[in-house]
This record gives sequence, C-alpha cells and structure tokens, in this order.
Amino acid sequence: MGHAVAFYVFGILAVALALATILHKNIFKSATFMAGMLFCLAALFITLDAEFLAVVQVLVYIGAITMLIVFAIMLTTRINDETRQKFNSQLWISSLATLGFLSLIISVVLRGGWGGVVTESGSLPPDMLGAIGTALLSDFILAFDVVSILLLVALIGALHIAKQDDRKLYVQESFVDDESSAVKNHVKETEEMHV
Amino acid sequence: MEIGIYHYLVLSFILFAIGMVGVMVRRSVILMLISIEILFNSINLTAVAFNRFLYPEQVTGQVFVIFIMTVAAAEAAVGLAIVMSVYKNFKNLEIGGLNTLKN
Repeated sequence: MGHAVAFYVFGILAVALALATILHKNIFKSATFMAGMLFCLAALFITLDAEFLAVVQVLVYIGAITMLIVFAIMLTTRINDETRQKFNSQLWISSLATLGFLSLIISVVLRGGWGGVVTESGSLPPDMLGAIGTALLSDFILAFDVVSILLLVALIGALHIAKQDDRKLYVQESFVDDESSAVKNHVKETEEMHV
Repeated sequence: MEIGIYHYLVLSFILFAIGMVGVMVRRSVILMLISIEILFNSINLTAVAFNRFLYPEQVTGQVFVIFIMTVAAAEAAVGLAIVMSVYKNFKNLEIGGLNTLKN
C-alpha cells in the first residue's frame, strides 16, 4: 500500500515537473523544476530497492549536472528577457507526433509478454552495494575502464572547447552585413553633411 | 492495487515523450540539453524497473544505470562547454540562428 502511494505521488509529481520544465518561459525556473524532477526519480529508485542509485542520482544529477546547467544559464542567458520567442513553430505538430508515438509504444508494451503484472517476485541480493561493486569490477571491468577513459577525455575536451583564447570572432554573416551597412550609411551621411 | 513493472514502464514512457517534445519545440540550446537529461532519466527508470521486476537477484540494470549516468555527465560537460563557446562567438543561443554552416 505504501509502495503504491509512493509510486503515484512521486510519479505524478515527476510528470508534472517534467512538463513544467519544458513549458516554462523562464529558463532558470526550468532548471529548478528539472532538479525537482530528478529528486522524484531518486524517490522512485528507492521504491525499486535501488538505494545506491538514488544516492548517486542526487549526488551526480542534482549536485553536479544541474549546477553545471545553472552556471551555464547564468553565464549566457538574459533570464528576464521575456520578449524573445521561446518555442519554435512546431509545437503542435511535434506534440501530436509524440502523442502518437507514446500511444503506439504503450500499446505495444502492454501487449508484450512479461508474464502479466510482475510484482515483488524473487529475492534481492543480500548485500546490494557489494553486489554492484563486484559486478562493476568483474563482469563489467572493460566497460568500467572504457567509461573512465571517456570521462577523462570529456573532461579534457570540455576544458579545451571552453577555454578562453583570442580566436577570430565568427559573427553571423547577416549580423555583419547589417552592421557594416549601418556604418557605411553613417559615413555617407557625415560626408553629405560635410558637403 | 499492486504496483507492477507496467506502471513503471508507462511512467518512463510518458517522461520520455515529454523529453522528446522538449527537444523538438524549444529554441534555446540549454533547454534542449535539459530535455536530453529528462530522456536519460526515463531510460534509467526503465532499466532499474526491468532489473527489479524481472531479474531481482542480479544487479545488471543498476550497473547499466551507473554507466548511463557517467555518459550523461560527460555529455553535459562537453555540451555546456560547446554552449559557452557558441555564446562567445555568436552572442546567441537560439537554435534557429546557428546556421552558419548551412549558408
């Protein structure tokens, strides 16, 4: 019973927060809603007896990735700029297409045979954390190493991409045209004034 | 009513659909990255649910989720570095304006 209550509360909260994330006009509030949604996902992991993953979710997603996104928003976006268009013109058609995809995949999965509604069967490993550690360093040792190297490469690559340097400024062409024509007009006007 | 694997699967598909809509309709690059995080999380929920309900005596699904989280962290770091670089060069983070390669 408690399980069902927790599932419905956190599931509905997660869906509502995800919708708020993608629909809210203020991008900073979107990031905050995303943090709430990640927290609901951590709670759902606990209802699935994956306590370690719940802790890692809070540490890595909420603690690190959300903070990184908030930093990027602070450094780049004018948060209070309400004049800009937030959505492109595909809002309704992509919503409809996604709704079709969703109904298709749900109908296919609900028809599939995973032995009816499987509930609470089998027995969990007695030492879940130890089992995860053993699996990481025995069966999945190659993937573990590859992922470590990937993380290192991503770290170095991110540093290299984001580092300050005095490369040429690739301003957009239309923007350059507007500005240079404006400068020319200004020069022309001042010349006419002199004449 | 008992909560089974289908409840978790349907929830995760709904989250996946929301993330898909977010990637498709928003114009800000950062919002698209946030939507991609929603997609990653729905997949994580699927993996853990399959692990819990079909093979509860193993931990394969949870190990996969740890790998997915690592890749998501790397993706966020590189993606946001690209966002910073794009912002430095274009002073603009709307996806419709970033078409220099096309022109």
